Amino acid sequence: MHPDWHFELDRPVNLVLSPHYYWSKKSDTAFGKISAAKRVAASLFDLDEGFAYDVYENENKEFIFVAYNPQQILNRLKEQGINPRMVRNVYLAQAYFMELGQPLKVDEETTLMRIESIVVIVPSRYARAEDDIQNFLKESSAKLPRLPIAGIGSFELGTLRIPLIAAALMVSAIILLEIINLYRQKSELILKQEQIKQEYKLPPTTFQLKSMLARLKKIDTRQSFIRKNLYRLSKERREIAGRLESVHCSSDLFEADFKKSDSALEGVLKKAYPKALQSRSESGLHIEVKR
Amino acid sequence: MNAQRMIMAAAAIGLLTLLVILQFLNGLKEDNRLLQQENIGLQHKAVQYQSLSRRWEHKGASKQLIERLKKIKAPERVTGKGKSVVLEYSALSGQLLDKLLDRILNSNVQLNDIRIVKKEGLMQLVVEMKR
Repeated sequence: MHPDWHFELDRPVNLVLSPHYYWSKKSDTAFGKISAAKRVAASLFDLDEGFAYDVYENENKEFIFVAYNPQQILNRLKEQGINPRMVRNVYLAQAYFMELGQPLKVDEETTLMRIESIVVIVPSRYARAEDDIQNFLKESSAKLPRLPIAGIGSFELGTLRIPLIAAALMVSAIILLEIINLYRQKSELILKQEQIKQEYKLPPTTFQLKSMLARLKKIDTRQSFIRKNLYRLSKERREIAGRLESVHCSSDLFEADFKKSDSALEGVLKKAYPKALQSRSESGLHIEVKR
Repeated sequence: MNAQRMIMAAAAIGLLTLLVILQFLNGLKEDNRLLQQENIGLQHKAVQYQSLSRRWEHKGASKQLIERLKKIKAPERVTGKGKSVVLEYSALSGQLLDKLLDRILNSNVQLNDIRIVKKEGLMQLVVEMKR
């Protein structure tokens, strides 16, 4: 890129970094893993602070060590008017164009080609290109090493790592606390259930409790029937004085006999026992209430 | 896989995990809600059970009633009939009958049968109750 060029990007692009911005060294030492090689990368270069180092393995299983200054690259992008966030990935030119054979058409006026191991851009009139650079870039970029630079790319794993881990930890902590709280509540509720059973001396199972409660309710209904009917009779005692002949009250049936029936007595009894069956005879009045 | 795809995949896995955990939390909350409801129901039943049990399963209620009735008028006959006790009174005045009935009806005994019969101007009372 010429220093005077100025770009305004409307979509993300890939950046192919010129060797001007990085140093590279090849090593066939058996480091084993890339992570082991990364640990010694800095010692292979005698550079100032501010440099970052990366390692990748080429097709011949050789380790390629790269040293670059991320700040220098970012500054250069800013000078060119390129927002680093619009740069999707940063590739190394040496790796990118290693397999470049035939000239590639960049646009109508320019062509990319290799001249004596150096990749250059020349005007189209000097070299005829059949393949388009876009196709070449698409096919190549998937398997090529990329330089990690903080601040480049719309999603930068490196910069997002700490906030993501913090957020995940926070969410996990909240969930864990909630689970602990819910289990605590559950054990408290179970304990309360046991306390109720002990306090009220309830049977151990709900089924037994239901059955005992049903039995008691049945007793209560029957006893209420007896008491309610006899109370009513006591209440009307003044009105029926001297006319009551007999009363029979069980848990299912209330019967009473009165002598000398008349409308006044019938009215009183009708009011006291609205659901009673009244039957008048020569001897008097018989009332009957069924539960 | 580039960084963006990795983040999207991680986010999707995270979201799914979160959904599963939220579902689990909801399950726990629902369990607790049901347990709380069960406890409220149990408390209600327990109060009912205690109240009814104290009222109708009061041990020695029949003996206590007989002792109290004796203070008004001792029954002429007290006979056992299986699990029941039968008290018999005869020649009761209306006022005495009222007093005895009031005492019987206000007691905690389980009454099986009550008979009141008028004979020669006076009342006979037969009460069969649970022992």
